Amino acid sequence: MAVQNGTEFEGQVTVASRIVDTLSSGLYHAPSACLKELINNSYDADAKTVRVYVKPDADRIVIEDDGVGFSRKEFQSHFDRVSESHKRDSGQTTSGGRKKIGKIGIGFIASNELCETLEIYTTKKGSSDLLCIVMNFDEMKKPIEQRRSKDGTVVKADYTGRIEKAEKDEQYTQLHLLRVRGEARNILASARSAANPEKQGLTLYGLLTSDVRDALADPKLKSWQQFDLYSKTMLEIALNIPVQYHEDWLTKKRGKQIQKFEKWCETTRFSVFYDNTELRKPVVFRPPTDRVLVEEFDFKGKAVSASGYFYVQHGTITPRELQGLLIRIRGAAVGDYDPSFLGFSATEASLLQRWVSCEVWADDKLEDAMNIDRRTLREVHPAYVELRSVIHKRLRAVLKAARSKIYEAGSTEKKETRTKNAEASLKQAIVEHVSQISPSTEKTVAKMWDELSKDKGAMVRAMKSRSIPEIYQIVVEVAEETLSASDARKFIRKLTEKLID
Amino acid sequence: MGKKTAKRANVHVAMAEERPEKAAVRKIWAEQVKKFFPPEEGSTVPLYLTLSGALGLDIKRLVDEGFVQLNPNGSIADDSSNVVVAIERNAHAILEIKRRFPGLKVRETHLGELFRGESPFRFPDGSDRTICRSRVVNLDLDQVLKEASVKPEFDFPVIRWVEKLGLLHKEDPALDWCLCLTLHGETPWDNDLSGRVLTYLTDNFDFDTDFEAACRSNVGDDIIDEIRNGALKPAEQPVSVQQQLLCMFVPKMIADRLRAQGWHITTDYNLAYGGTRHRAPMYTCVLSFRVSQVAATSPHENYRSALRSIMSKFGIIDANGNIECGG
Repeated sequence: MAVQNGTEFEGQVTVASRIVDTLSSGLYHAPSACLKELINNSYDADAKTVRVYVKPDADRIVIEDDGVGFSRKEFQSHFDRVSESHKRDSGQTTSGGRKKIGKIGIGFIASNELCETLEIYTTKKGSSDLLCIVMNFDEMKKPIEQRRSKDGTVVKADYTGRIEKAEKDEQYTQLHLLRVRGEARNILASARSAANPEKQGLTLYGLLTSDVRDALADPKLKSWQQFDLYSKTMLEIALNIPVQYHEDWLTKKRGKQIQKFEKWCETTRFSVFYDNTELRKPVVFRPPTDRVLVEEFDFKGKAVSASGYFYVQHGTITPRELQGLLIRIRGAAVGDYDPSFLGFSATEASLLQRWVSCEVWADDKLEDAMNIDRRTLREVHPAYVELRSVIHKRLRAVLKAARSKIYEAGSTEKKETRTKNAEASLKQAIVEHVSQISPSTEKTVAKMWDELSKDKGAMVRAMKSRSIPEIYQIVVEVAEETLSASDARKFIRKLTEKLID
Repeated sequence: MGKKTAKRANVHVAMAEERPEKAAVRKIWAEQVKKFFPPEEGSTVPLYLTLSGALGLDIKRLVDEGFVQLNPNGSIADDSSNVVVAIERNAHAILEIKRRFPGLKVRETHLGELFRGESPFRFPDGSDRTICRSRVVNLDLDQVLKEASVKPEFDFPVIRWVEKLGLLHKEDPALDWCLCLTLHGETPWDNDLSGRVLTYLTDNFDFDTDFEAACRSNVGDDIIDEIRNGALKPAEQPVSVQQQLLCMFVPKMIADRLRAQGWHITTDYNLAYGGTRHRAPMYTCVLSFRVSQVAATSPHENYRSALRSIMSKFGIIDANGNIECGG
């Protein structure tokens, strides 16, 4: 029977049990976590472009995509009993060939964490129905006893719907989040600094993507906390979703694995615009020196397979949100960077651990170990255990390589610099006093210094083999041997002053 | 992503909006914003309150003229976030505005809701109160001038809203402001309303002979005589006469209703446009309200002065967007 335009319907969104009710509430630690769930839903709908509108006040947040949309039947079969309708019933991949990120379809009601009302407008290609749903989460405020029905299901929301006319060649879904909750609204739209709410933070609002990259690469940026809450939310979302890397996010030449990830992100062609700024992975490395190490890996284990890279630079990685290890499954991140590297020994090369940033692209076997919050993994799951073991082994090797190739090389450089500085200081002291000493002494000292300077190796050896007090003593002795008593006193006094300075 | 639908749904709107007459009207609106630009430092009062519709062409004009700054990515700059507030209720239109101007402040409501209806005892509060004090209030209404109910006194919701706007702008600190009002240029009034309008105009011709003279010189003796003898039937008149009636009646009515508030009121534009075969007849006016001590102490003289500017700014916008008017 053909559906008439203007047809109205209504119902209740229920979850299959109390436990799912609990799990689907309070699941998300921050507004960014809710929004990324909704954006990942768009990914699962084969959307190419998602646009999110939040500013200026987050009164109405709109997420629109050009994905496949859904019909009334699909809506009702999913929402009339959330968690029983399995998002992967129709297969692991979307019709567009993407591996689905969502599992049990609970992400959609993530919006109940942010707002009191959700409006949905959606249509499918080939259909002339535009499905318009208004979902009210006021039910959520009632005690569970009042929301439980005879069959044990728990009501999460009421909805009303109507069918309007759509163009047959169109497909899209628009989510309008209304009556956005106070604190969530403050976070989403706020210009307040994440670190100091009294102050205005740095903002990424209004920037071009390349400007965002440059802001992230600024050496003065120590933490995302320096940004305002709006921008921090934007970065948290961008870190999680399967969007592309920034151009030139890594100055070092890429190997096969990194190229593979970049290629995957490109071919997925999934673009997200947040108030008109295209989101890219907020992973940008601009090392303070050129002492950088990038180690890629690719392993196939029994319980899990994964590939990825370790990026190591000389000096602490900033912003600090990039320190540690980030796991991606099906392109979406599991939580944030874990600075403990899945519980790696905190005392083992603890300084160097802050110099490392690692991304791991794990296969689907790890998905089974992922908790429902999509932030954590079950530590006893075989896939997790194997991954942790492999990561720790590789990290140990990376840290060892970092110590010899970056840290110690850095130390030698530093020593050489120190030696050069000492040489320059001594020379300067002598030059300053050369006018006060007799011409014959001047000649002697200059000759001696020139001879010593010619043999750089000997000088370095001398500086290496002797401590500063020893060198000081030798210089004093030389002065006493070659200068008149008064010149030697003047020289030693000046030298001592310089060294103390 | 719904763009095509929105595009198709808006084809008529877009065609209407792009017309030269409308472009001329938008230019006039931008002129008014210019008078108050830049906004006072620290002021939370917006410069421009508008019913922009989904396309936001008037906002685009403000952007083009530099009154609204954009970020490098095309969104509204934080510094300009308080310059414009759009009023819109329709979800699709809101999304379309957001697509065009990400970061634009949109108050999601009906105009009636914003003004808390026509009751003289209910006023907007909180942030609605602030946005109602915008320096330029643009009521570009897709409707004719019609009454809400039949009462001995006129009961035009739009005039009631303007009265409220006047009172809100009078609150301390009182603010000079400007009203841009656009209506359909037709007068499909019943006999009762028509009769009351004619009586009202006649009373005012008697009150101020200069006003009558100005009306005679602009619309012709025949029309004025018919108004005076009560024979004119507005709904049956050619469109151009209906527009002229609005030009005489609307600013006068507003000046009358707001004179007790002590504003010095001037009519800056009082124009008819459209009304040809493919173009709907429209009426638009721009009225300025200045805080004036003299106006408060001599309301009678002030009212006469307001009447004089009405017909001196009477005119038309032709199909090419040229404005022909007195003054």
